[in-house]
Amino acid sequence: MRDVEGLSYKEIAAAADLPIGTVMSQLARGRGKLQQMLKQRIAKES
Amino acid sequence: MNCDDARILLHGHLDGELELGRDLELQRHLAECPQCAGEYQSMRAMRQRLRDDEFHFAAPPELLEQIRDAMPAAGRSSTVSQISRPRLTSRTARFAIPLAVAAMLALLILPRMIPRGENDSVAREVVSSHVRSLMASHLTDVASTDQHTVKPWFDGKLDFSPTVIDFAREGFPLVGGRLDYVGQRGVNALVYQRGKHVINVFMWPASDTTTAVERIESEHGYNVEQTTVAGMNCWVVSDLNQVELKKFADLLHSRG
Repeated sequence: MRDVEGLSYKEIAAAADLPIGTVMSQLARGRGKLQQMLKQRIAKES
Repeated sequence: MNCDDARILLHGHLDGELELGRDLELQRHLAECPQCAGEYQSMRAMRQRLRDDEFHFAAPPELLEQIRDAMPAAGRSSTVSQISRPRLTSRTARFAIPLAVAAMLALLILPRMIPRGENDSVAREVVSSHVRSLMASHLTDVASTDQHTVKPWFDGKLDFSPTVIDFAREGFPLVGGRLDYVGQRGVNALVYQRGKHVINVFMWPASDTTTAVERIESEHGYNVEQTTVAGMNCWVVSDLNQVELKKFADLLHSRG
């Protein structure tokens, strides 16, 4: 929601009914996961 | 503050979402923790690079649809805009979509793409030519598996005589050739095949003929190899896997 819809943390917190701190940690986790996935894919390709 | 907390707050900081107190705590931690400071620098550098036009690309609409569909309805912009959106218009959101998706995709691809200024633009050109050659049913001007037909065909069309070798025995049969335009000059494009994969080989006289075979980063899923063949600058592009394409480029280099 942050990266695709451009919502603020506050807006995401309201929409998902979560505390802002959780929004931030989930975002960090999601981005980290994506990073890992891309890393693995690139490692496989090269 | 421990590192786990800091790694989370980094996102908030970079998104401009951290309240002042937390931000100051984070700054203090970064000042005394080189690992987290390094992570911060690399995340920040990545975001900056992604603002460059050079690395910016729009995510295809289908992908955005898929991502939207996976969201809770309340998070989709159409719904949210009805709730309260003091700062963000849907236009901003739309703009942010490709940027952010590109950001994430480029995160790891990026460091592999940055160097080699001039080669980068040639790589882009040859990949574009390769794609065009497949799209426009204009793969070959002269369709022949015979190198003695293809080579003379270029006579008088270019100011150099390209090296044309058929590698059918090695599993890369020559399919034909055509004229193309790369690096602001007319070049020859030789077309080879490996199974169903088409390989385009672009050649023009080189000033530096020392390059053996060098892998240029893949662009949009295509693999690109650069080499020299008998004094020619030679670029090889295909959707063929990198290992086989390298083998082909080595063949060209050694037999040219």
